[in-house]
Amino acid sequence: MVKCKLGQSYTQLLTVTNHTLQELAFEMVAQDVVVRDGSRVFVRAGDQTQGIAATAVFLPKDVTVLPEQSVVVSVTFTPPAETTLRAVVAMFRGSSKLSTKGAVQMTASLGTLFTFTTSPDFKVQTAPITVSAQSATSNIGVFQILTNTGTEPLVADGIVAVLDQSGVMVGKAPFESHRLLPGERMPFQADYPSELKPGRYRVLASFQFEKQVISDSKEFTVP
Amino acid sequence: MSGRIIFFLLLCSLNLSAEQLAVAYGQTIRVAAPGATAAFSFNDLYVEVRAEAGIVTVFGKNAGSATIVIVSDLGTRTLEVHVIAPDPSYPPGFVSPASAEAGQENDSYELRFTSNPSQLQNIADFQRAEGNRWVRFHVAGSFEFSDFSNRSIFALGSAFYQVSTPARDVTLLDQLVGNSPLTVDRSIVRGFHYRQGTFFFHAGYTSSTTFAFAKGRRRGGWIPVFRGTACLLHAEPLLFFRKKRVRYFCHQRLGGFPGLCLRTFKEYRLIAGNRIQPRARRGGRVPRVQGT
Repeated sequence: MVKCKLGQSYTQLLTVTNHTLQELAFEMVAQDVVVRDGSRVFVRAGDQTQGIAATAVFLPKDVTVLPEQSVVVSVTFTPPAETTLRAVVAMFRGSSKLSTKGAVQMTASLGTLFTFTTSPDFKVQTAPITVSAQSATSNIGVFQILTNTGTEPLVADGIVAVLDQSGVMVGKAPFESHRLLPGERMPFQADYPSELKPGRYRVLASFQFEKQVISDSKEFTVP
Repeated sequence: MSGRIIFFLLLCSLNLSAEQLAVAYGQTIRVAAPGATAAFSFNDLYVEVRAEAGIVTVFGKNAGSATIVIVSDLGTRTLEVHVIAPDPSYPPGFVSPASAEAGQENDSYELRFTSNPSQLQNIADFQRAEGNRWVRFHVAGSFEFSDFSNRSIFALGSAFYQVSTPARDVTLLDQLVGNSPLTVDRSIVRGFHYRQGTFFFHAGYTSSTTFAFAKGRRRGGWIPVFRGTACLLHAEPLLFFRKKRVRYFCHQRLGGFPGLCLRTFKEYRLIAGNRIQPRARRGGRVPRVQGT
């Protein structure tokens, strides 16, 4: 996650290490990460208006990595001043065919995500909490969809607390941390680790991101 | 968790979205939170918290920060808790290892005795590094037990005190001076030495020096030397006094390449008052002129 100004260049060194027994050749490519309908789509450099990938400068552009050797590649991005994109992928696109015993041959590519933060506009919208029922084979699960409605990428993590009727906490479980690009929508899930006794409960789901905390709650019953 | 309240600090700032708490490492604080029924931490590695009967108990588990949420009938309240790192705790008798700065200090003292001639030598060296700054002190003296004719019993062989940085050096007493073959070259000058970037200044006394333009070796003399460097013109004026004579030497280089230098050389000797006698370097006949 790079904090920068639009129009400002950012350079990073990427290192790839070949732990296979054969020589591997890679071409360095960049792809824009665009959010469409709440999901990420990878777009070839130059296809997206005001894209960041088109500004990528790799040095060197093509690399060959010997077995048990490493190669360092410098990449420089310059996010356009008018862009709304905040993410780009730098990729080692493999061209060497990996040896296999069968007729199937494959290549290996590795990529890394760069996100750019240019302002403190962090906003998250939450959907209603969904609680899966406790059964003989599973404990309750808590789901909530978060949507990044701001203009900047962020990383959100959270805790779900289970409260009894009197409001006392009987247990808690963590939500797995996820990165949300602007406009991206993603479900967060927490599996409660123990069995609940029959009764009425309330789940409180709290998420933190960029020094902000948002909370939602939902009541449910364990029969 | 101990119920003892050790440290409590509640900070409220208009610039912060959440209240802040500070708790010492391994200590517990209690915060009044009317109506609080539950509390949890986003990161149990640093902070553990629980709520009971309107009192929230916060335990600083490890140095770091974590956000806690206090739940009440009215809603939720968020606090940012900082766990302050503790002071180092050493067992009895613990001796701290030498610091990195101490490793930059190097001192030595050496005492020698020679029987023939009977002589006692004392050599002391001190040096210390403070970042890019070095301070060095050296003194070497000898004491003769048997007196020789016309010789001092005690002799200060070498001594200097030097403070040096990448941009500047200041040295008192001895320094090996290598100015140029025309002036002072590879001679130890005892006096004051100063270097600022490419400019340096030496003023002091040398027991012997070699002047490439002169035949033989000149012994003894007070020698102030200074030199500066320009981009295209390199000039090295030299002024030195020797006994009752004053000599002025000047040579110039045009261009930055020694092999392509245009050099002129003149020597003037002040003789018995105000007459100056120019002398060609290689034996050319130079008419005597009247000085001012």
